[in-house]
Amino acid sequence: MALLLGLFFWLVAIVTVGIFVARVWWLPDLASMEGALIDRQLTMTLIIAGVVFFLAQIGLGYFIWRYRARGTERATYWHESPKLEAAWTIATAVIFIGLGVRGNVVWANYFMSGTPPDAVTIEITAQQFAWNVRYPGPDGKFGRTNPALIDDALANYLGLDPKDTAGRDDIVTQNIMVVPIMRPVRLMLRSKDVTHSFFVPQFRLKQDAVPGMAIQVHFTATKAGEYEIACAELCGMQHYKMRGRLMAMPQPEYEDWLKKRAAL
Amino acid sequence: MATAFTTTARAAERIAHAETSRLGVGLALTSIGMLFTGLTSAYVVRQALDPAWRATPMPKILLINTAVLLASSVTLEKARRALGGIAAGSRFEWLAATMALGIAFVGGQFMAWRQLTSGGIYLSTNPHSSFFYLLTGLHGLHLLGGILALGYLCLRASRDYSFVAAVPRVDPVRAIGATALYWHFMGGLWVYLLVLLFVRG
Amino acid sequence: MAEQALVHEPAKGFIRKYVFSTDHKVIGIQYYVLALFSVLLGMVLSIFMRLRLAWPMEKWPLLQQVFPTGFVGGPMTPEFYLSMMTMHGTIMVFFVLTTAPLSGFGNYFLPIQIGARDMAFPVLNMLSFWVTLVSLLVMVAALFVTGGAPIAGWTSYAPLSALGEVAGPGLGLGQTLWIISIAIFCVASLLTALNFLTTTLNLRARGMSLLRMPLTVWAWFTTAMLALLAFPVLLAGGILLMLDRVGGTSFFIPGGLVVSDRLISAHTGGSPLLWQHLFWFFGHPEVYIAILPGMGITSHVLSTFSRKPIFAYKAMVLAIFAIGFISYLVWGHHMFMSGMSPYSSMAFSITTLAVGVPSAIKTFNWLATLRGGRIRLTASMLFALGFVSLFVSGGVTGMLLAQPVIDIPLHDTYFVVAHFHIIMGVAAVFGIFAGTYYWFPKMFGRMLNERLGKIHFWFTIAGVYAIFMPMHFLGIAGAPRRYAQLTEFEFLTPLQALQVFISVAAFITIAAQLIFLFNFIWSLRRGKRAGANPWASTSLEWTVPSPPPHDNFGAVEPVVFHGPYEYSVPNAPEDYVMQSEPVREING
Repeated sequence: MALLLGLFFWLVAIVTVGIFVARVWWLPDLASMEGALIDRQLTMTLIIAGVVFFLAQIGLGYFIWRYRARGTERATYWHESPKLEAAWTIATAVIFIGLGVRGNVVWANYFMSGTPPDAVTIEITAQQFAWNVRYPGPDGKFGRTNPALIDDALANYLGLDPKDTAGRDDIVTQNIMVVPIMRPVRLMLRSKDVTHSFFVPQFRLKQDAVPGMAIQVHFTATKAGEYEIACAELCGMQHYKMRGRLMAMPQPEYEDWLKKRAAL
Repeated sequence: MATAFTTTARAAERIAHAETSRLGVGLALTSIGMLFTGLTSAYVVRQALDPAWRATPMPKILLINTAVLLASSVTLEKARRALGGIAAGSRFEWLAATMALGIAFVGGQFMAWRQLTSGGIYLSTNPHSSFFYLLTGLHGLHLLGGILALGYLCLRASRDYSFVAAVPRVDPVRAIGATALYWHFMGGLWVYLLVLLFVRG
Repeated sequence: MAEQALVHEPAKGFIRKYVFSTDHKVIGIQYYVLALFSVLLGMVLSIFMRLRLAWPMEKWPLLQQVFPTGFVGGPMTPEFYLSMMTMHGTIMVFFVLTTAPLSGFGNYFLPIQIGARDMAFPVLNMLSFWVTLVSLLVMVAALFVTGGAPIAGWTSYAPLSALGEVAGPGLGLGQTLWIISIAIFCVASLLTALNFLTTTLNLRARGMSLLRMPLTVWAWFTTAMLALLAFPVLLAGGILLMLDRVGGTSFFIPGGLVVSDRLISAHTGGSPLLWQHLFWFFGHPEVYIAILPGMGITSHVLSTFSRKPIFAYKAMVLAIFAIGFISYLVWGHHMFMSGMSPYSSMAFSITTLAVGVPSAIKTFNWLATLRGGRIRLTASMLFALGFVSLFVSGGVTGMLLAQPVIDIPLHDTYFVVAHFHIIMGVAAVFGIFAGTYYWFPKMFGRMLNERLGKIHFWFTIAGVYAIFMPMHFLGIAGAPRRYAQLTEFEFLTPLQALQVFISVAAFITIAAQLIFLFNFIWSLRRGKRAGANPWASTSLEWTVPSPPPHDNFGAVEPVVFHGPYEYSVPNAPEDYVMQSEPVREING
């Protein structure tokens, strides 16, 4: 039994680590600039966590087999070893805090560097169960909105106020989002009803959209293609199919698309 | 089994039991304190986030209520002294006075509510009024618990004129001690809430 | 030093003895049975979840007849899935993981292990059980009301949970009952906590100094402190949420919301993040409320069946305390993606990683306890070893989730589901099982069948790893949690095979729990009779008959002479020295 249990913990360790190393399942292919640093920090932490996990399970399995009850000899009467305790306390503290500091540096780089001035601004307004996307149009200004004017039947999903001239050239789409590649995009995240979360796995981008707040994030797409926007915060019955399509394309095509939409 | 114990063991236990009740009340107050701490943090956050925040003017009767509640703490201390000598017999008037003041306070709080509602200020009128009704209501509810405890003590003291014999398992000094701990805390909590709601704004 | 509770006479009559009993042992068993019922219910709910996740469009005609509104047209509706999910989480966290290890085992064994005759406040103790039962009944009632059970998850984030029926099915009456039940549960837990604390501080036997208490007692004591300080904050949040729903206030509901095409004009200015702060200020300590007793039991069992002193007892006590204390400073790590200030995230990240240090210390000490031991693989020991393995597996992923930058891809994915199920759910359950196989003889005077226990262990350990390890892969690949199905997105469709695998593993594992249930019921009547100390253990509960008499120690007042883990003392006649055994210098 001891041998079996020891081997079982070995098996768990080997299979799990094996699958991670072989990357049978892995992060979706990266398609944003900012994601590279995230992936590096994630991989590094995963390796450290994996080593700790592997050694602990192997050690546990070995001890169970090695120190199984046999013969009549008594167990070692061993209460403590201050040196040993100090050693592993310091070692874990250094690893954990070190990881935390490194992670925070990456985090600060990501969240506290202001959005570059040449960034495109796009506003996302989440609702049950759709993503409303708004571009400010040629004037670069978003028009005033008023919740009382929201009417899904008239496709005024945002409650755009027709009296505000800044809003006349605003482009509003639902569940379709187009961004240029190799150019920073600033997102303004809002919500009409409950809390949602804007999640594009390939961009390593996730941020809650909270009603009553306007939260900014930025990213730079690197690969042209079509991606999916998922909701990552439980928002009600159809949370599982709150899906948006995100097309990343080179700057000229992006501008063409904007023009076409504006003409509609 | 209880009968198997000697008298000394019994005496030791009785003290221990009362001591324990004081500790229990202390811990209960810790968690009640946490409840109001949680609400305070909600209050502070809610106020900081709201540009339209406006404090409701304080109903003047609250000052009288405060005086009444503070006075009740004094009378409770008197009661504690009076019962300090075990032979004190029928000296439970101070207890009754404390209870009466406590009831007067709750009544006064209710009047304050009436004043506000007649002025058109309800629970949902604005965030400050929401917090006002909530905090005073919860405080009043907790105070009612204290009034019940005082009522129990009064009843015991008045019925037999001899506190000790009536409740053999409750040492009167300790029992009042535990109740007083609770009562004074409620007094202090009220002053704190008053400052939070109306001095801080 | 020794202060004894006033001993009450043994109750007479069935009702006073077994129903409205003030005996801590009866109350402990009542809590255990309540948790057993809840865990069975929680598992049934998870069966529904796994059905939908593996085969989302499959029709279930039989189930359709039982739940016509949950299986409209044959397949399970997404709202039925979400209500199952909400109730699964809520029932498991509150009525199983909080109830069994703390209120169940704690009630039964804390007083005996410190040499007390009962809890400090027996009547209050009885009251807290019955209040807990009322809370459970209210919660279960939510399953049967019109509109169904709430769909907002066990975290009930506002404003989804605050807006009422307009935001979705189950958010009307169902959500209201949920809040009421949780509020009642808070009160019950507070009563339990203050009873545990007072008992531990005041009622220890002569010689039972703080540093001679078993680690189980230290764990219950710390857990009770966490409960005493955390539940009031949840109660505060619950009251505010309730007022937003029925009182027209705006604590959590901001202005200008448009829900289902309807303008919500009655509210203005509330903060959704405020609910998250209040909830997680409670919620994170709650995780430790679930796991700390399991750590205590594991330490106790590992030492017993390795026949060795627990390694570094004082460091273990310190680590429990450190974990308890730091657990109050980490709640923000649930909110890295919430829109909270990125500066707060950095601070919460460091505190969260810091909590890993005492956790790692415990693991090292467990391994060191095994080293040089004479390990006996009883069913109890198997589950304790399983606990250590799971604690490591679930713990190391915390290193990733504690970093906000890594949390960006992993937050609210199956990676998180794997993490908390392994470390908080399954590890805690392994602690409960280790405790059950260890203490059953004491509680009921008969042994559980060891062979069945071992079979149960093998199915369970293999099963939980098969269920929860693959969830890490789902999460890495980006699968969001709380989806009623994961087939609506192209990037998720290749993962469906894993969902099927997990479901099958879950069904086998759940079925294997029937072995335990059978063993439990059968052994109550037919198990081998247990002596006073079948495991050759050292703590005080093993000095009294199984089951212990009404006042635990009879007329004898227990006296304690040394710490609880004196195994394999050189030159001692046996390989264990009980705490009540007056022997010559041992530690010298």
